[in-house]
Amino acid sequence: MKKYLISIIIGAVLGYAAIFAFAWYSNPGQIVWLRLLEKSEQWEQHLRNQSSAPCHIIIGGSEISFSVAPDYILKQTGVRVINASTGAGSGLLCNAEMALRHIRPGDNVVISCLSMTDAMAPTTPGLQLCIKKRGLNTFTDGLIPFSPHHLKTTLQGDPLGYSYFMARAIMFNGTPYRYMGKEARMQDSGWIELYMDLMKECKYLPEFRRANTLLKRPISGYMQSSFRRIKQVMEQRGATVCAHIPISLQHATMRTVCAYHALFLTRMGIPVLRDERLGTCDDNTQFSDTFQHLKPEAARANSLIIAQALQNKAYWSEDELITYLHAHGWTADGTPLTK
Amino acid sequence: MDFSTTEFWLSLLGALPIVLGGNYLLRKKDDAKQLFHKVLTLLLSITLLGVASLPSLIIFLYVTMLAYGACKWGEQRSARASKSLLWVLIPLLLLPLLYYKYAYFIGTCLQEEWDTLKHLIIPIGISFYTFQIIGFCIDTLIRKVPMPTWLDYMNFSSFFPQIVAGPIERRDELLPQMQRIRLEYNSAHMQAGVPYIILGLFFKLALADNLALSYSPQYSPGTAIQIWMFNLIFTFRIYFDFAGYGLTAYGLAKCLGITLRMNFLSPYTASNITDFWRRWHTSLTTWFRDYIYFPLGGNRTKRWAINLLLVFAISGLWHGAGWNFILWGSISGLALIIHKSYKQMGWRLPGIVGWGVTFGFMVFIWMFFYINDANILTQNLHTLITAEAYDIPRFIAHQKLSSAYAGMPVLFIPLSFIVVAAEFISQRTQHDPYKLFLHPFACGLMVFLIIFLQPAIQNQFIYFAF
Repeated sequence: MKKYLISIIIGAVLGYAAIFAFAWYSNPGQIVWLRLLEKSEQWEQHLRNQSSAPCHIIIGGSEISFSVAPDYILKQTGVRVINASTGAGSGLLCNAEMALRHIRPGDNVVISCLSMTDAMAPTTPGLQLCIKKRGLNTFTDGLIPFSPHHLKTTLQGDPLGYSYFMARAIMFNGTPYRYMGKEARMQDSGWIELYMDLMKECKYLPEFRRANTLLKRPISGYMQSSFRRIKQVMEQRGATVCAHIPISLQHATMRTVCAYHALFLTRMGIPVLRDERLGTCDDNTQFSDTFQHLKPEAARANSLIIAQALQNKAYWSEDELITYLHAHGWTADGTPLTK
Repeated sequence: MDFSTTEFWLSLLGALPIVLGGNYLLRKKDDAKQLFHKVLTLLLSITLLGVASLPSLIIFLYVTMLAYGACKWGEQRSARASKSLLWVLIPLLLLPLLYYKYAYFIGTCLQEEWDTLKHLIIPIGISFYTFQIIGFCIDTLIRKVPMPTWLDYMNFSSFFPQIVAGPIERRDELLPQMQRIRLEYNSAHMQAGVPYIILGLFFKLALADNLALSYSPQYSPGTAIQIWMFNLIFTFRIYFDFAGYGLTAYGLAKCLGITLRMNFLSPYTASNITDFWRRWHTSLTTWFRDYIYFPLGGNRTKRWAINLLLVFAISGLWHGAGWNFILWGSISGLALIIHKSYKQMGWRLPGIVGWGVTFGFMVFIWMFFYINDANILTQNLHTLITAEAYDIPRFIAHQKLSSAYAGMPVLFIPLSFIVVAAEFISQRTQHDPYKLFLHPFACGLMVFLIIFLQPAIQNQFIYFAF
């Protein structure tokens, strides 16, 4: 029995060690993010070589990676945008670390507000990214990717699934992530065109009740402090900070929620880009495989809207947002208006 | 009672303090300790089944209580009365099985637009324990053997390693062991059982679950190569899934000092179809042989071929309520008839050719098992006989558009063949298809592979659906 116990323990230790090594070195999500960041660095170099005019650095998750096209923006509007997004899976602070690599005094950082109610704490992949990019620890100083929680999420990884993604990417010359072959094309300006057409049958339009529920949910304290910290650090570096509510396939009633969150940020001193869509779109044909990933054509249209807001420095004012909330039956504090 | 979940093993660990405590308190009272072990085994089995599904537990109790009561009544009666009782008892025992598993199918056969009972959930393990209990009743009433105590009978019926997905045990084999069951640590038992548990989990978690990700029976691929690939994937998947469960059950029982029947004996190393069915789901095939085929006359009657076909058609139906299952069983029966016939004429295929024909045949007919849509099945059959459908560039193009996990066969089909080859070598050298896998080094390797290969997406044991 002793021999079996020893061999089981050795097998288990080696198994977990192999998973860990795999997750650290070969996580396909990481590889995509690293490639995206390389592209955004090259694009930044291209922009800085062209001119010393300030740039807008937009950070966020895949809702930005797939939906904001810097090359198209530059060509159509002359606005200089660097897409420094990775994935929501890295966490807001890790994304902010990525922006720090690009900013120069006079630049503007645009933070995509994927969620204001759920904490987007740095995750193991995000921290690994920061470590791999060496010297990045302004927001993540003291955070160790090997804490018990992070270790658990790493060990729950799927190394074989990862290796298949990578093998297929090599075989079919695609992106080594869950998007394969003809489904995704990484662009030189640091974003990805996504061609999947899975949302065309989607009937996802949450009922209006969801908006009411979300309005009652408090803004995450963690998100508030994260935004404050990002603003403070960026301003110390001579940059300005604003926010952007990304577009999602959801019911129009969700605009109330977005307006409320925009008001919250505005009152925190972080202006929010004025976008009449207020984060919602009910046309499922514009979306690719999830409710936040736009198809290339829709991504370009989305990019123009953002660019025009940036160019015109168009932000929501407090009064506008309060008026909108009142018109939809809510107070500025996110409570129902009593009639 | 899913062995592949952490919850199951934690449940067993949870019972450990009770076992240890009871053993300590009753250390000087052997009879009381044995009773305690039996009661605890029953409680554990019932609890695990009840937690998995309360309706399943209720139906199980109905079947077991009815059978026990009837056999107890028959014990006091004449041999003739006991035999006659079976004509009433067996249909009553089959009633829940017929209702939950076959009522919708029967309805659709009688009426095209039948929609009632479509969403009935089959109680866990019903196909297995019903047959086990029917076998018990037949053995008890026909042979007029004494009834065991209620406690021993319930432990025989509900023994948790095997109640949900077999093997289907016999009274003569399992009951005496349950009458002597001890929940005490025994190094020899553990050493005998743990390697089988690891092997079973390796089959299920490392192989079957990965293969399950790689095929989709919901559409007709349109390329013959893809269909053959799906068939091959399913061929291995069903074996590793089902055998994995059986081996884990075997190992778990061994740890408790109980020897269950080995349900699989490396069926894919069989060199002819008869040999295949001696190795595949042995507990079910021997059940059908002993309780249906032999009573119909077996090989000794001129109607042996019809009997064989009937038995296999019923066996197909046991697996699932659908014409595709009946077809699958019938084709298997037909193949057996053909094999027996040409064997009687003295013909025999050489070893490797026989293996190739048998394996290829099984790869083909599994398609009838996993596709229950008649349109897709028909389309696939048509595709397989169309020369143009064997188009390699089209197959590769199809692969490119497939989901990410469609790349799994590249690794897992060769790995599956390697495992089957290892079974063959083990059989040849050790006279046991799994002996090679039981070596400590092999166990350590399998633990490594379980951890490393286990996909993020897991599937329930395939035979839980039966």
